Amino acid sequence: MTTSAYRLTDPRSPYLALTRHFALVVQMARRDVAGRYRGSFAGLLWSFFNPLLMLAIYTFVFGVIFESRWNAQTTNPFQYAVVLFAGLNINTLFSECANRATTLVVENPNFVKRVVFPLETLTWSTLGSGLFHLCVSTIVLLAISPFVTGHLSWTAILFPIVVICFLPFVAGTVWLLASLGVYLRDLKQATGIVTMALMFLAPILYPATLIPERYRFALYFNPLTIIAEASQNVLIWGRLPRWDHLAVYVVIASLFAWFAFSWFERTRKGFADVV
Amino acid sequence: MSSEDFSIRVEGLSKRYEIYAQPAERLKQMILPRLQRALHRPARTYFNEFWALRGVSFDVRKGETVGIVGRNGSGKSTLLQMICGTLNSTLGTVAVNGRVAALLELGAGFNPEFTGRENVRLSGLLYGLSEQELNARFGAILDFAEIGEFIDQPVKTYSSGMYVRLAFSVAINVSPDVLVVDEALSVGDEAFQRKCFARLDAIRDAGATVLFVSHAAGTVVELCDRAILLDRGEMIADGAPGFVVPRYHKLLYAPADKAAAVREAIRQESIEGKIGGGVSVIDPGNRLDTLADEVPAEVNGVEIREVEESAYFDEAMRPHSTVRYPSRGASIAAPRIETRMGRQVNVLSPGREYVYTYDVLFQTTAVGVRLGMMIKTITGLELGGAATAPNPAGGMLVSAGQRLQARFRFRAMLAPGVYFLNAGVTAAGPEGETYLDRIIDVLMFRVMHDTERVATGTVDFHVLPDLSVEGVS
Repeated sequence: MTTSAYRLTDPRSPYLALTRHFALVVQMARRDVAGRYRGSFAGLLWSFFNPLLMLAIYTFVFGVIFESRWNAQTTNPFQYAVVLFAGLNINTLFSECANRATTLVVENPNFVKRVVFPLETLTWSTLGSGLFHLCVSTIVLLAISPFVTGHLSWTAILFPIVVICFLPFVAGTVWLLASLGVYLRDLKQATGIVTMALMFLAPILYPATLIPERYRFALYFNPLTIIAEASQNVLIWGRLPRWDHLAVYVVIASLFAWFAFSWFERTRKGFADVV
Repeated sequence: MSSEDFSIRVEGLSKRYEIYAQPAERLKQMILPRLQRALHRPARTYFNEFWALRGVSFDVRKGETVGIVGRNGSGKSTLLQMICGTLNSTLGTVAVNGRVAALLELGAGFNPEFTGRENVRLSGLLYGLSEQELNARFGAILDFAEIGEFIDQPVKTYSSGMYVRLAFSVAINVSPDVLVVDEALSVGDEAFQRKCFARLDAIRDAGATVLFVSHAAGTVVELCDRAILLDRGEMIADGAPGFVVPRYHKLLYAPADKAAAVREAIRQESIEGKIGGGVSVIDPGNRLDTLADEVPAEVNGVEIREVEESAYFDEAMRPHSTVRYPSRGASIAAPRIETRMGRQVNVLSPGREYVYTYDVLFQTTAVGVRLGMMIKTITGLELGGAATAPNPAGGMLVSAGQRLQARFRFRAMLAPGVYFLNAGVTAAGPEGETYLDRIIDVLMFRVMHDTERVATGTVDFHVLPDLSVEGVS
């Protein structure tokens, strides 16, 4: 007996969870963003300071101390930091959502037991809060990078499309981990390591060209690779993203989201027994 | 009853809790038995089962107020949770007409980290209010909750009273068709409770159904048209509160070894009552008539006086706090309360006359003997008593081997509730008056609820209220 409010055979069902409860999702996401800085003096300004300070640290450590260069042609010490930042923002969105996902249901026992709450929307509100931070970081990046690269390319306006291609994958991950996290409490520890590994195994800290051509295809099994490269292309290099890559990516990610959402809806009836 | 008429329809409702040693076992239970069956192997279960509710069926009509009573762990909360939809049933169905607002336990569904304002918005959205409706009602919610500036503080900083005030305020302001109230209200102070009850009346008058769970039997009798008694997950009585509540008390005070028999007796009575005259359908207009019908069948037949005197004896009601002083030459025996006709009782009708009596057997000869009694509240407050003589000088001379019987006639001019009795024998001795025998809390009795009662406080002084209007000619 499945007690889902959705027709799980419909591949659009994961997105109905968003549109049906839009006001609720917005409310939860807003509260999540505001809650993070509640009580601090600078409040929401930290959303700006955080990426700014991060960028400064990367520049100093990688650009000045390590003298890292993304490619050999440039001597600009700031270049590595902004490229790194473009990829890292993508990783941050993913790893924050994934790491919170494992405890998303467990930490809200009220929503499981006390009220009739559309638990599936927690995924979208988590994503919403992550997107807010990605948005702020990207604005910081776009404000700084012209001073480094000397130009601000029009391709930056394609960035939202890149992010939209990424969302089904992140949402699917959250649904899957949120459900499994209820039953397998060790998952929380494991997720931290896995998200870190994914960051190091994507062309975020180094260009893909650094990997010998024979092994380079392996990078593309990492779900972050295509999106991180596309972000660097549109935000820094002023190049178009690889549309073919993105098209394949979005199809696979959507199938994954559909599966993960069905999994979540089918396993949620057991939540109340163990939360 | 037409299908549009019901507000809640519960049919054969059962809930099995599956107790898992590890959360991971729950996941295995969802996957492995199917695999095992597919491989034609016997399917294993990964849990211990516990039936919290078994085969409960009833209908609640629109506008009815139903009280649910039962001991701890009898399945009340499970039933309410299933009616609210937070819990899935294992067997059977629940159908609810319209919007359900629930106040389950403390501040149901509030997130402690969120401010009051955020929680109100969230609850409103969950109840299905639109953004506009929510904004329109926000003022009313704040007014009723009376928590002032705390509305912008996280609710974890609230006192339990504030918490429940806000939760209740939200629940009644979303215009529910069914309002479910758990014991939560007992947290609020009296002024707020009264405000809530007034509001519950208003909601009921507007045609909403109220489902009410309480340990306070008085509240159920006052507030509800009907009561349902649950015990160990089964519904054992369903009828007028005046019929169900005394039986609930009987069960509550039953010693463990007799509980099963008491249960069975109640269930039988309840079934007979139902056949007798549609207990579940009560017109509030002739509630008193209905109550009269609910007098236990065996009494109905006897004589008119006995029907009037609805006091009865509840064998299960024995004090656990009895303390007997060491005897010094006399012993108290056979303490009991009787009606004036001599029938032993311990559940008394308010305002009626009873006799508290006990025997004293003397092993020694004693002078200045006085026999005494005292009525106390459940907290031990001494309300009043008497002795057979004003002082030892007026006491009797009793010789060894004699037996005395003391009879104290009293009127139960008391508020509904439980009271305790003392018994004591004193005699004059060389060092002044001493107790020959004394028993604290030798008996307990209950004064029944009286819907006509106008007196307030514990002791009824028979105050006669009179109202006259003194107008300007």
